[in-house]
Amino acid sequence: MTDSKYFTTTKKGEIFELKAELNSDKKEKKKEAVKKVIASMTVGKDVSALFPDVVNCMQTDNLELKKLVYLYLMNYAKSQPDMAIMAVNTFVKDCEDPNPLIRALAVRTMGCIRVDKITEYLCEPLRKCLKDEDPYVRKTAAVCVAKLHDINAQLVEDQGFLDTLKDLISDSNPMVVANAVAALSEIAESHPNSNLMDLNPQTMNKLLTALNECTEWGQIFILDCLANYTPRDDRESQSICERVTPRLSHANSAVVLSAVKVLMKFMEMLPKDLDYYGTLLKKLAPPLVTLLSAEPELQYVALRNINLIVQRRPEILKHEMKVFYVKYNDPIYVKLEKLDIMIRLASQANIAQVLAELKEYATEVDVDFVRKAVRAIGRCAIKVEQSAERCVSTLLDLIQTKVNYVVQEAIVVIKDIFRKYPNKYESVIATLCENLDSLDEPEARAAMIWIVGEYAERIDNADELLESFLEGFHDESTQVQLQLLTAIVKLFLKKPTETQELVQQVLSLATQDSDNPDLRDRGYIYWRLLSTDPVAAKEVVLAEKPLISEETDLIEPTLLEELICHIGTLASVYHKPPSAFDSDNPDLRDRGYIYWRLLSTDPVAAKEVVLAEKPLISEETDLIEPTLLEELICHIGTLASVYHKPPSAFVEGNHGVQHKGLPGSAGSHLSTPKQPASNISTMGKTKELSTDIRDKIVDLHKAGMGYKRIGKQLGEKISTVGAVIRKWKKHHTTANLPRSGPPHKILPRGVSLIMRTVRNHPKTTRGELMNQLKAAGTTVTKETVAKGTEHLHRIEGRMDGAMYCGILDQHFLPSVRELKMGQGWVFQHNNDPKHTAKATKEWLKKKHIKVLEWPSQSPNLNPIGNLWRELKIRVAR
Amino acid sequence: MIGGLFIYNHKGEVLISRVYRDDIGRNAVDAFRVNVIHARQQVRSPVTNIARTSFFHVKRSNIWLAAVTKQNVNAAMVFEFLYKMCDVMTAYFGKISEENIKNNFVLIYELLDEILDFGYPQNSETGALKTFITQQGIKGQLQTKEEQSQITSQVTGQIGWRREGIKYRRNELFLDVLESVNLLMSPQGQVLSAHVSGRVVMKSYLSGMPECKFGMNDKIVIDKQGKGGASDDAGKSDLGGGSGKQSIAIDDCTFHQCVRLSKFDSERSISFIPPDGEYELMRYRTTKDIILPFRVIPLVREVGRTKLEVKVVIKSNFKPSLLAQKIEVRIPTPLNTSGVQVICMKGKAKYKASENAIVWKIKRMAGMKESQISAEIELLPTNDKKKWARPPISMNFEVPFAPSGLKVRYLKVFESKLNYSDHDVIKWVRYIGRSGIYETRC
Repeated sequence: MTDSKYFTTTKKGEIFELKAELNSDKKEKKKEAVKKVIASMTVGKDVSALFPDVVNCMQTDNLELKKLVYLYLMNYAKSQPDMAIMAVNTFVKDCEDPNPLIRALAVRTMGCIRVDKITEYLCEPLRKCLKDEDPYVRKTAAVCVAKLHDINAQLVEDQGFLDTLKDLISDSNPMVVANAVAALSEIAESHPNSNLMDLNPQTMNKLLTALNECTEWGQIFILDCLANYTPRDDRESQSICERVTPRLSHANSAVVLSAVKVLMKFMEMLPKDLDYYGTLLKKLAPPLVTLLSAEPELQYVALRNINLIVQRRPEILKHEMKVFYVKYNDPIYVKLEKLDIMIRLASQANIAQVLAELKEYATEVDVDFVRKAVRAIGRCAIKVEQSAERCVSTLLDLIQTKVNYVVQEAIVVIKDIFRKYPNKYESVIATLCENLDSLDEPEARAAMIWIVGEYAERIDNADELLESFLEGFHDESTQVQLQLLTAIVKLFLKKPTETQELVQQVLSLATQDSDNPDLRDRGYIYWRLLSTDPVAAKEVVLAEKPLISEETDLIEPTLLEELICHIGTLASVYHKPPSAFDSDNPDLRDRGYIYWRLLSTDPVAAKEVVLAEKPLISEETDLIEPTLLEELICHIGTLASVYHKPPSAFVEGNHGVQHKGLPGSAGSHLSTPKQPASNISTMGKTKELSTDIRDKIVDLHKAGMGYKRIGKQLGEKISTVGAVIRKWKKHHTTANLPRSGPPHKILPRGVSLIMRTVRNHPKTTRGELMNQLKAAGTTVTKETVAKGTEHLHRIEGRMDGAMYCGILDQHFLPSVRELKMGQGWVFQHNNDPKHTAKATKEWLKKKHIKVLEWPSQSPNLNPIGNLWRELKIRVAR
Repeated sequence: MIGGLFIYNHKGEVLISRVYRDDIGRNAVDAFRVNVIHARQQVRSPVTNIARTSFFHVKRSNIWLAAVTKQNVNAAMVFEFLYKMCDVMTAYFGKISEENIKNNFVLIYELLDEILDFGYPQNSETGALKTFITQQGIKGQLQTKEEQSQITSQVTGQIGWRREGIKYRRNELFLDVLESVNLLMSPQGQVLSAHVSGRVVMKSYLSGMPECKFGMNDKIVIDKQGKGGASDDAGKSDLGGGSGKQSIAIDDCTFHQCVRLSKFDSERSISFIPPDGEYELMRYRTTKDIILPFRVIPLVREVGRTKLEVKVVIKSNFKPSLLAQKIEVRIPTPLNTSGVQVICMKGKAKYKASENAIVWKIKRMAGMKESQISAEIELLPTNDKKKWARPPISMNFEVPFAPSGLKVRYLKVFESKLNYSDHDVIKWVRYIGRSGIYETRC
């Protein structure tokens, strides 16, 4: 029962022990050994060396042992493809077993052994199993076709397995149908052009029937497959929808989400005025809401999907705002997603509640969440015009809390509100200015500077404020620098007299002292404008105030345009241009040069181009691009819908396609490693065979092959094969036997004499021993006689003083005792930190151990060095 | 599909690793450990993408279960599978702990082999699995041919959750209607959101392959049956908290896979062949006309900068003859609390510094009663700019009725092959209403 013991063995030489146990005759011992092997495999130890021994255990009637061996095979077959062939016979035999469980087990495992060579042997058993009388075997075989396809697509096509698999869709057993559908879908995915899954009304009917009967997982496979079908007309799509809707009350959320996917897709086909369309919309809402009472991880997946659904069809959940209210105990990832959806669902009808909620969230603990809540308030203001006033006052309340990040976020948001509703809320600017000093994030600083520049004429000390920013101009981020430049130019144009100096300063900072191309370009644009024609400059930069606020600022529209081009990407999430997180952005620089040229050559034309009327910022700045949204709707429930990215963005290249491109690759790949082997055989003395090959020879012999056939298969001489097998028969091993070497000088009796003497008199010298032996009749040199040392101790991890004391405690004193040193000895160690640690010193003092004085860092003063010399001389005597 | 499945202990050591697909390398195991388990910051999503490999994880006590894939898989399915895996393991060896996993690692590998084939989940019903995978090693050698084919047909069959030939001397069934009331109330007593999520848990000890039919006071059904059906019920005693309503509107319900969903969709009748033993027949959610068993009225007053006065009144709102149990009110206190003095009329109240809350416990409380607690919280003066977030006051309780008003009307059992009828079956029904997240902001 206590299998956990298998996890704890970390002895050295374990592999050899295991090898012996695996080859043991006792069944129990064998099983124990295999368990140990699996345990070591799990913790990541390489036990591939035991391959032949484990495979030997395979021929057993104990099903548990067999399963364990199979597990081992699946893991290591790939690293030892040649050895894996040994197992084939057993597999083929098992596929004929009367017990369906064993048949299925064999075919399942065989598919998992991802060795090309094996696939040939797999075909026949697989064909049989696909037509097996037992549904359990058939459903396993269906998946096995997909496995085989993954290894060798060509083979599957050649052998006609695909047709058999298609036939299985009409199988009487629902689980077989489900697995066949899953396998076919996977294969079809790697052949985008093939019409493998040519779903016609007949097969649709079969699938829909199986849908009612199979397991929850099977339902998912079938529903995911149904989503790829394109119905012929609205009647058909309605009938499919009708048969899929019951799935919405399944307890498994994945089934529900897959059903939602199918319905969302087929709904497109239905005419909107149809009664059924309306009822379907109504039916979709409750299951989606129910998903939110699932476990948090599933909630997260559901919320990411609801986010998409709401964008596509906001009408479904428009009355369900309350369920997206954040609960105090929700995990952070659920909270953030809920917030996103709340904003999407915000409308004039529910804005009051939503704002109250958002205000509540803004006082929570998690920084990210609070920021997002504050940002959400701003989004509501932009989205629902009627609420803008209330939003602004809410934001002001939040600024009063003086919580740093709340203030910064609020200012960024208020800037956006200003851009949407220019000249409406400037009364709040005073409050904003109070918080100038607490701003430390670039985005917030930039926003604040923008506001100051924009409303410079209404802020009495605007020049002072901007000047204070200018002090650390070069330490600011690009975003702030650009903003500051623009703001000061605006300020200058508004109050030219007092700010002459300031503008001069900023222009020189931007153009001369900066190496940022964006900044320099913008600086030059302004400089030329201002120096050539101040009146035109004023017209350009300040433009017509009452119209649109954005255009007075050169970068804001650019940034906006930029962001609109990057919708759905990180940029639109951060509200920062990609250059803010992607250092070298040619796009932005190019645009700068275009402006420069435009302005320097023909200011009138430039004005027309640059200041053309721009649309107000749209309500939803981070909507997913329609085409992408379309694609994602087709992937509801899948990983793509969670990441909000198309599958191609995160899935590895298709294996199947590669296989198709290189049909012969499998064969040619195999033949290459053989080449060097044949070269070796022409040399005078051949290199000795690796144990692997020797083991393989033996295994093949055991499998009943003759010497000749083995030799041919492995490319070895018959005589070599014979020699290996003869050796195995005699010694039951293929490993190199110990070689004889020269005869022992000292007889066993002599050895025991030495040991005895040393044990009794540890201070015996080698010379004395030699003389004793001579007396016993053996003449040897001094070097032949060995001497004992202190215990060796293995250290795990980092050693510190405490650990060192422990080692001394455990080994040092027993060693002294064992070596029978008596009283007159001295302990010597160097000045390693752990040796000189306080703990160590105390320990030595307590035990009254005499320690040799050790001078620091000077080898020539080292007393033990001289001692060694003395010792060597005396010992050698 | 799922490319591999790993189980780690809290230190990030691998306990189980099973790789199903080639594209998942051995380094995936380490990638998850380094980027998620040992990550400095708490991970902010249950799905993590590391080097184009996606990791789904759930945590049970201090054990991490991670599914790995490189494909665009059905994310909901992967999580459902991980939960199911946890259920299966719990059914086999109890609590999911490092010790138990190590002790049963061979069993877990066997289960993983059976319920996940090439990353596709297969039958994961514990009832069916237990027929051929046991803790004492696999049966298989001893089985007759009939038994084997019975197992396979059960695993793949339409009724994968029940085996044939079950016999009981006494045919019995227990129905538990377990509801949890969730509430979020504003300090002014306005209900921000409230819903009941309920479960009908059935324990069945029935012989043969019985066909069951379950009926409740679902508004749609009652309305369909017209007045006749309603008067039938009128005679039955009203177990609920005093509201005399006949039927309830169910927002949504989900069923165990044994229920014939198509029949529910067309006729709204719940018919099924139950699994043997305990299982969850259905889950439902209601939002309309919920009886809120308790009302919490908070009053927080800040007296100067170093003192806080809190007064909380709770009112029970159900029949006086019923008793609520295990009542616990949790009043959060600020982090800089130095001392608390509590006076309560009923039960016991204690300030727990480690949880930053005053916990007030009342063993029993009858309906239509009222109780009050007042506390003085002394605060340490801080110059911390960040305000105290004032977490909501939460409450726990248990009441012997269904706050949604749901009532079981009947559960009929038909078994045509064996000679016992609906009347011979002993049936028990029990209603328990518990608090879910029952919070009042203060």
